[in-house]
Amino acid sequence: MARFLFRSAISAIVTMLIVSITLFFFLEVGSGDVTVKILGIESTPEQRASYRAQLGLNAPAWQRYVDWLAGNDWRAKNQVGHPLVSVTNQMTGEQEWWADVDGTLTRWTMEDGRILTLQRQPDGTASARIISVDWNTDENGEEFFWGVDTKNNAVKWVRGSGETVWVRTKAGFRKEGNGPREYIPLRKGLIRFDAGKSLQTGRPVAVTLIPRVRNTLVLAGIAFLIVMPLALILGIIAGINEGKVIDRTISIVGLTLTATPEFVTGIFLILIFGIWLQVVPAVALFTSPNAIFEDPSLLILPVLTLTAVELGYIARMTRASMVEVMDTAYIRTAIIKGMPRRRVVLRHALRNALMAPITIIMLHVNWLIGGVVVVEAIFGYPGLGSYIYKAAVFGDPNAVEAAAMLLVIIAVITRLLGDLAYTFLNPRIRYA
Amino acid sequence: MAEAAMDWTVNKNLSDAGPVLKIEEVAVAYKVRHGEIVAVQNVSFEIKRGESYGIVGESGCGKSTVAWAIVNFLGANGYVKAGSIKFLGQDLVGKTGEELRKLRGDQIAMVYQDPMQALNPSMKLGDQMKEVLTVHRGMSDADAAKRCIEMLDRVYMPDAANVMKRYPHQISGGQQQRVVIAMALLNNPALLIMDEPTTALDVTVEAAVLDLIAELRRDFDTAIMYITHNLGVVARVCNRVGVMYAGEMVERGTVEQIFKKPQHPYTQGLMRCVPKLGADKASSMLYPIIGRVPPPRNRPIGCIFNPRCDYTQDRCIEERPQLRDMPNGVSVRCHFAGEIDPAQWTPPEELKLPSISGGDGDNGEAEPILTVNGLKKYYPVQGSSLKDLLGRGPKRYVKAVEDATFSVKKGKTLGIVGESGCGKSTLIKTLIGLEESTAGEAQFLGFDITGDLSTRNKQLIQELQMVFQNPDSTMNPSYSVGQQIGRPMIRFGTVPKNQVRDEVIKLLQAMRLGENYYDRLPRQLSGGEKQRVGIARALASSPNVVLCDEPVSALDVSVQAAILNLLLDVQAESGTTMIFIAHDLSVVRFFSDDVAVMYLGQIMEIGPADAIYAPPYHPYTEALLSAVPIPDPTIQQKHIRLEGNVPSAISPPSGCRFHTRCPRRHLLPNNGKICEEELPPWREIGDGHRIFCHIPLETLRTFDPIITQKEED
Amino acid sequence: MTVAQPTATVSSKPSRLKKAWEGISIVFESRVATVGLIIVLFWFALGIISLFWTPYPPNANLFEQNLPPNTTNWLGTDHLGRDITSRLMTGTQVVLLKTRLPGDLGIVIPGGVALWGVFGALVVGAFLGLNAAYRGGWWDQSIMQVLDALVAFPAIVLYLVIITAFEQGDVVVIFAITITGAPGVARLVRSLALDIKTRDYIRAAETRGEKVSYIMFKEIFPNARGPILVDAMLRVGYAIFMIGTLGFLGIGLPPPDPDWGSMVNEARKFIFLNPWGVIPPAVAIASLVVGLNLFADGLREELTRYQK
Repeated sequence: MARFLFRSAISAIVTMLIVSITLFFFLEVGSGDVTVKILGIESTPEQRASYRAQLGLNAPAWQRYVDWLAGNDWRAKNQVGHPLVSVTNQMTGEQEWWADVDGTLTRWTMEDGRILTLQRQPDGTASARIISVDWNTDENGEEFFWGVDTKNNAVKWVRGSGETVWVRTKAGFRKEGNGPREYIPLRKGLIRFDAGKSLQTGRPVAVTLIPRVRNTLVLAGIAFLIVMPLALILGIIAGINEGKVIDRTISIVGLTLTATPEFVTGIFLILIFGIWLQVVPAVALFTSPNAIFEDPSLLILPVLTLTAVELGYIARMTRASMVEVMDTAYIRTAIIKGMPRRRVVLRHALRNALMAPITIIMLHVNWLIGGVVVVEAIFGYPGLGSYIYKAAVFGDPNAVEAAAMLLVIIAVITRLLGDLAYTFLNPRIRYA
Repeated sequence: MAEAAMDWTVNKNLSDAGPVLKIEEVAVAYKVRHGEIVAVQNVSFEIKRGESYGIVGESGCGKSTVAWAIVNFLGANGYVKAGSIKFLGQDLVGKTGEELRKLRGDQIAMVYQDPMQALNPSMKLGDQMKEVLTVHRGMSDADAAKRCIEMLDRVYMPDAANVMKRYPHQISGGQQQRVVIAMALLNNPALLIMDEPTTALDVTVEAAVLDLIAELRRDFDTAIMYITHNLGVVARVCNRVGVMYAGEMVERGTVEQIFKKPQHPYTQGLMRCVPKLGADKASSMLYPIIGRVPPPRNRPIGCIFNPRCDYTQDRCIEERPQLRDMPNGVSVRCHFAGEIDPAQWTPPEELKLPSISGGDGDNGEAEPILTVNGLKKYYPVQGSSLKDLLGRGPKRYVKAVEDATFSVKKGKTLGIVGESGCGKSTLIKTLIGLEESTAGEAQFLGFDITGDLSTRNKQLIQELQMVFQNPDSTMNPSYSVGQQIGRPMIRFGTVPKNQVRDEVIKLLQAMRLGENYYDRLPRQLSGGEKQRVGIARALASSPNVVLCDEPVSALDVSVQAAILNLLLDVQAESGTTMIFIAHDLSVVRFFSDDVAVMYLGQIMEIGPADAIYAPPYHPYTEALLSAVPIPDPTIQQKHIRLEGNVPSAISPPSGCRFHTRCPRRHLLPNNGKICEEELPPWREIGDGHRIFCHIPLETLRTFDPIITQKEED
Repeated sequence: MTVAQPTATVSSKPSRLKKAWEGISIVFESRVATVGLIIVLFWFALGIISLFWTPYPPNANLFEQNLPPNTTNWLGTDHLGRDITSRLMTGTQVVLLKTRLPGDLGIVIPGGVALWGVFGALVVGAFLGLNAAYRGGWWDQSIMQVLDALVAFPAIVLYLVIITAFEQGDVVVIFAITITGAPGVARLVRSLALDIKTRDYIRAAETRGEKVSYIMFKEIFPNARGPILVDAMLRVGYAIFMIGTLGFLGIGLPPPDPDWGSMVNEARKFIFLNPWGVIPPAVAIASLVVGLNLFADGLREELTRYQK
């Protein structure tokens, strides 16, 4: 069993690696010139080029992938020559990168081709000083300096000639002098829980994601709590009454529910409950990320839609498994032993019949997640699904990657749970 | 235990009067989409207390259907159409489900073929047993557990208390069957139905279970209905027997009478099909029954056996015979019973029998075509600990074949026998190249064949072909018979493309299948026909050596005889060399010139067939032979039973691999300490007969023969 | 798809025709399968008719906007005043009947996006599944690992990413259906092949020294056809399901040809003005998918009965 779980864990890790690479590849191919999307079509090629450099997009794709996964401070450290640390700015609550120069947290900035050294004070502010820095000379005879700038990049300045760069601010796009020549936007990498910043908003992905994950978990969790017992019971009832009217009814209704796309189900529910019966609002406005806690009735239609789609699927799985088990020789033995039907079903058949659906459900959690994405999109529900949908359409790699990795982690973990449940139900593996 | 003791007496008193089970003119039908199928009809018999009643017949004869009818478990579409099933005087037909449920598992218990399938894989054995008592007798859990352990002890289950806590997959097949039998006996049922309870078991395990059944019948005084296809098993455990054919009972009587003087032509035919232990192809013949069992829809109007009978007359075609009582107490369903004398029987014209060119004379002179020396086949296995997973643990192997040394002479047959897991299949898979050997030498016509198929050239591949065991999987369901036989010819280019069809048809005819089989698909063929096609396919590339992996073990006895005859014919005509694997010792003895006996990957004894089956023999061979059920109640068989289970091939016992179970090691000093410590020597007897044993030849020679004729009363 | 078979094989042998008919006739043994087949054929027929005739041009704004069903427009009109009946009929084409190749030439090939997508998934999945099952060992482990990863991907996310990665188009949707469907097909083929591989006729082929590719494609694959066919039918249903969802999300098949999913999406925006607008395309998608599911279900039941 140790072996079984060990394999599952290894497989889960490899799975996540493959998924992240695939995603990265498609986003790489697909997002086209992301700067156009951010800056708008009216931006000039010059502006875009400058902005690309600031985003670190000039680095080769594999490099950016490694940066995204494992961070790049360890790479930038070699250039800067000092350890790089990330600290929280007490005023903004955001992470800031500093170089640790002999115990003093330091950043640099350039003014008129000269380097200004900024030292962090205990209160979090920085004091500027002109301290001479050691310029290095490259093979072309140019003098350069690697340091950390005030926008959390490791940058390369060239002495005497600050580059002209375009800087994006809240007010708009501004031309600045004294810019560096190369950028490495510093990040810790996903494996150190840094998902990077959203290209769309410029804010860290994690900040937006957390309330959305919570909302999705609430939606999926409620649906799951309704679906599981109901579907298993219906499936078992259908399974032990194979071929009878009740079985036919459950099977056909289940099939119809499963085969109807979520958006069709959702629309019909809106039509019926929202427009004709008017028991719930036909259009739900999620005014804030916390709207569902203020008005739980907003949850009714999304939960119902999700329930309808998943109910049929799981019920049919359970039914098929039950039918198969009821046909086995050991159930025949139990009947021939004169066990009452109740006992045959509950003691002999149930446990074996649940094995298949539980693993299959767990394997198909991502399929169910697919349903969540669509349901959230239909109802404008502020969850992970609608987030990923918007990010994908925009082509925001950090956001899509982070959200998708979360979904995959959920899928992988539930699969592991499924394996565990299976081991628990199946003594053949438990005692192997 | 007072309660349990009381139970015994209660059941006993119930039925001193009449028979426990009395079945009269029962017919069972299944409703299908278009009408119904009558599977069983006109079946009548009765079983008395303490009696063991055998029901024999080939597959599809409705044996099991009768059993299911008794417990009314015929599925949603089956029902008892006519007749009555009286159990202790009350008719079971028409009883409600609840009334029947109370009888089942309490007064009527059942044991079936495959114990692994019959036990719930996710329930502890103890729980599965106890519920029989708690549900039917309302016993407390503790009392039930106590009684279960006693019963397990009673069926000689080692470590009974511990077994209660285990799951089915954790014990061996033989032990599972003991659990099922113990479970059936818990309530001391009046009737015990056993449906092929030992068919899935190895011969030595089967022997032990049969002993147990015989013993339990005496002690518990239960009526047993024993269903089997194996005449040998019937001869061993039953006192009365009914022979079934195509849904009818054609003959019934005491075992002695039926075996001594079978009167129905079908029963006579069955007896002629089975090779007797010790019979060989030079001195005896097998006579298959022509044709096949008609499916329930196409049963003839008159006597159901008339299309296959050698004595058919007009009356047989027109009128269905009744079961008639004969003077010797046997009842026979034949118009001419009593007039037919089996001794006067001659094989009918259309039965083509193999022409064996007298086996003697050329022994030893033929050259060896295949020589194997010290061949080994190990499979690496991965342990389950974390250490093994990281590749740090010690490398472990399943030692499937260890040091195999033998040679096969041109045009001769080497038989290999042994129980499941003894490595016989691995050995021939290695020879044919499906597996690569681990060490040792193997040469075929001077070419090295230790590598797998990828190392062999086309000619070599063409010269070694194989016939497989399972008729249902030997042919690809997607291709016609002609395509499948023609494929090797095209592949090896042995026949020009435009002549392939003619050649295939020639082969089909040689297999006694007509030209019209060319376009048939496998699902339109019977098991025997599929097996013939399989043989034709192996022969299509005209190989020098054919390896046969249990080619007849999945077939009914009458078909089995026909296939064996066919193989003999092929060998006689084209001088093909064969290696023949089987677990049935009588078949191997009949078919082979030389025999090798394997145990746990090791050849224990090898030599000419007749020498293997007579003393001196290896203790394992001796145990095997004494376990074979022999279809002759008049003979006395030596009683040697092996204890314990076959050890794991991953860590086989040191020294002699058989020492953990050897019933003869006490003949050596120190109770055979040497067997545990050293590999035994090969003891040469001459004529190629060798025994791998520490016991000196002189001692081995003193063993009695296995079979002796019983003294006539 | 099965209905197309007999016409394709008429030329070879009369026995083939009979065989094919035998195969089809088992459909009618099952009431469920028959109902499913009728629903599917209904949509096929409607699509074929729409190639030649629709009540009005599907893309012309001829009528008043957002009309409920009436005698002129049987199913009403949409937000641009187009006839829903005509658009509904034409909507069948992209799913089942035609695929528009990219480029300005406007080349159209027969066979709908759903069918080609599933075909792609079958080819890729069967190839991977057969190799994994038959070759085993390292092949099996690496193929299954990659497929496991793809399966762990929520399909909708994969669709979103693929479709946003390339420009909207029929071929991209086909590609997406192929990529998301292939792991499932591969798993199925693998499990079937693992079973078939143990049969003696495979040993017989091996002892003839047949090539690995011959054994995989000629000996194993033909015997897995039944379950694969049933699975393919379900997959076509699921592909239609997915195409509808993508259309609904606004990233599906490109305009101008009507697409059921985007019809639902557009009508939804005017659901207060004309609640009738969402019903026809929604029912179309649901009924076609349900029909395919019923058909596949009935067929599977009959096939298992047939094999017994």
